[in-house]
Parts: sequence; C-alpha cells; structure tokens
Amino acid sequence: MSEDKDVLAELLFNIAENRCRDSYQTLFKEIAPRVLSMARKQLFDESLAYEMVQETMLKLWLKAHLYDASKGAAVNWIFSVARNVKFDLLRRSKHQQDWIQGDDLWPILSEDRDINDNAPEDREIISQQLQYQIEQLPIEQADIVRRVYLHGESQQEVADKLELPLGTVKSRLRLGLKKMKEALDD
Amino acid sequence: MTKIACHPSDEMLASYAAGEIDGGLAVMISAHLEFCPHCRAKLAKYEEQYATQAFVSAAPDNHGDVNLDDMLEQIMANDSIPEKSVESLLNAPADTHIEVASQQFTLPQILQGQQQKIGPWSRLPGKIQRAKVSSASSSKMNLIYMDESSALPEHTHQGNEITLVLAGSFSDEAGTYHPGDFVIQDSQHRHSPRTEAGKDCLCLTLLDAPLHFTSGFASLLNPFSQLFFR
Repeated sequence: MSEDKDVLAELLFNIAENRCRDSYQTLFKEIAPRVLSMARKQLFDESLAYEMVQETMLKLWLKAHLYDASKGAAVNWIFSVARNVKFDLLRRSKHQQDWIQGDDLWPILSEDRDINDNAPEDREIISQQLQYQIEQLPIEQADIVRRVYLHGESQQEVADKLELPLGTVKSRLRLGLKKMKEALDD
Repeated sequence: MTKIACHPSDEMLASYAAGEIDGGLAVMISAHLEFCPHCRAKLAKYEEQYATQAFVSAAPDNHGDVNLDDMLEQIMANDSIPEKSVESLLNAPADTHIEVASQQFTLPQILQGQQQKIGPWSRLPGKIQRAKVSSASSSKMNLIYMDESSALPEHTHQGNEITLVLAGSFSDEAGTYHPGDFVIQDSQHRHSPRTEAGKDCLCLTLLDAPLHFTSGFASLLNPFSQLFFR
C-alpha cells in the first residue's frame, strides 16, 4: 500500500512539472473510477456524480503542483480535493451555495495556515533537537530541510537555486522529514 | 496559551472530514481547528481513514466506462494553468479584522474577507452586542460581543447551541471558557454566561446546529464505529 502512495505522488510530480500526459492518464485510470463510486454512494444523482468526478479530476490536472509531499500521502490529498468538490456540490444541490466554500474550509489548495503555538522557550528546545536530527541526514537532504524549514525558502526557490527539478526537492524533503520523524519517534 | 478544554465531538470531526456537514457547523469547526492542534491531528486521522477506504480498499466502478474516457480527453484538452497568484492578488488583501466596541479583533480565516456577510452590530440587554453572520444554512450564526462585567440572564436553549470563544473569556456555572473553546449546549443546559471586570469576550455562536449525519459517507464508517465514536 505504501508503494501505491509513492506511485501516486510521483504521478502528481510529473503532472505538475512536465504536464506529463502519460502520468495523468495513469492517474486518471486509477483514481477517476474510484471517485465515481465515492460520488455515487453519496450524491444519489448520476449527473451530479459525474460532475464530481469531472471537477475533481480537472483540479488534479491543473493543481497538481499544490500537492506537498511533506504534509502527507498523495492519496489523502486526492481525497481532500474530492471531498471539497463534494461539499460544494451537496450545498449547491440544496441551493445553499454561497460564500462558504470547501476550499476555504479545508485550505488544501492554498498555502498552509498552520499556527505555531509553541511557547518561545519550547521552540528553542525543539529547534536544538531538530538541528541535531538534521545533522544526521545525508547532506543533500539536510541542505534542503535547512533551506525550507530554517531559512523559510519555498520549495520552488530551493529548486531554482540548486538547479534541481521541483519533484527532486520535494522527494528529498519528504525522505529527510521521514527519517527525522522515525528518529524522533524512537 | 491556555489549554483548550472544549472540543467538537468525534462524530462532528468525522462528518467534517467526510465533507458531509452543515455549512454553518463546518465554519464553526474550521475556526476551532485554527486554535486546536489536537483536533487538527484527529481530523487528519479521519481523512486518512476515508482516503484509504475510497482509494485503496474500495474496488473501482466502471473500468472502461465510455463517459470517463470522454472526460479524460476533455480534461487534457484544457491546458491553461490558472495563475493562482493572480487569483489571490485580485482578492487580496482580505480584511482580517472586525471592529466592535472601538476594538479590533482578528477574525477566523474562514470569515476573513467576508465582512459584508457580517452585521450590523445591535445591542442586547446586559452590555452585549450581536452581529448576524448570514450563511445559507438551516442554522443561525452570530458574533456575540460581551463587554466587561456583563451578564446574560439565566436561560436554556430551544435547540442546540455551539459557542466558540474567539477572544477574551467568559464564565458560566460550569466553568470559564478561553479562546478556542468549543462549547456545545442543548436544551438540557441552563446557564447564565457572564464576563468579569476588565475582561471582555468575543464569541462566534451557532444556534440549532444539526449535530450529525446518519447517511452518506459517514455511515460507511459503521463497521469501524467502535473505533471512531467512542
């Protein structure tokens, strides 16, 4: 199952970076029928169900670059995209569509809104621990983790500066964070 | 930061994760999540469960469906990438604050830029002000501002009421509530909210919130309900 997740993430990277049509076809064949069965179970209306599939799959085609592997598995992100579309369609079918929009409630298609609520002294301790963990990573992963999380560079900026594909930056970041998480969990 | 004591129920979070939820209640939960890392973590768990169910465990419908083949062609013909930065520039900067009693308060993100849906403020007895938040929903949403040393007479609720503290604090017979607290009350509850001297309070409230859904995606969880709805 974890292999499946990586495959989906790779497909999303290829779509985001290269507009790769083959990757999108593979993604579509894997995902669209499942969105359709999810839609049929919940929307009770065949044309609305197809609309949910259409809107979800279009978002995956146009917004694949907004998937951030450091925040979770690709399948979870894809589910969230479909869920947001469904929420809006359900409200529209009840004539309740207004300013309350799925993508605002669950802002997965925009910048993170995380609020850092650790006290400053806690942050200092956490930051020291993290520094140590970062030093244990392979150099190329450590470099990217530092740039993104300590210097606040965006993944795109890092890709530009290091002259790497964005997908490589994302996957190194993901691998690095995974290792750090495993080390911290031990 | 004071620890948040009152949270949405697991059932509400599960409905929210599934996207099968009243719009007004969804706004309340979204605003609570901004305050509450604990509930954000729970939400991520539910989303992961649903995602696994929908995309890993479930057998797909209609392999080779003609409609889906057509759809694939249509979508890939659509190759303009909307510039997200342009979209957000057009909308930005959203107004992030609201003024009441000559004070500025930060709004929850979901209400930012929606000031035209809020208000006007009207006065209630007991140094309390209220501004209606219009939402196409069966429930009624209000911002309530309680000035310092104010009190509402003891009352019960006709239906369900959810109160989310946005700033300051208020107390009733059961305790004191701080920013992020998500207080759920039904017709069984009887209380008289009040603020202390020198302490005011801004809340977002939802009246007659439908609390859960028994159909649709959330009901798919039934086999696992002992895991989720303890």
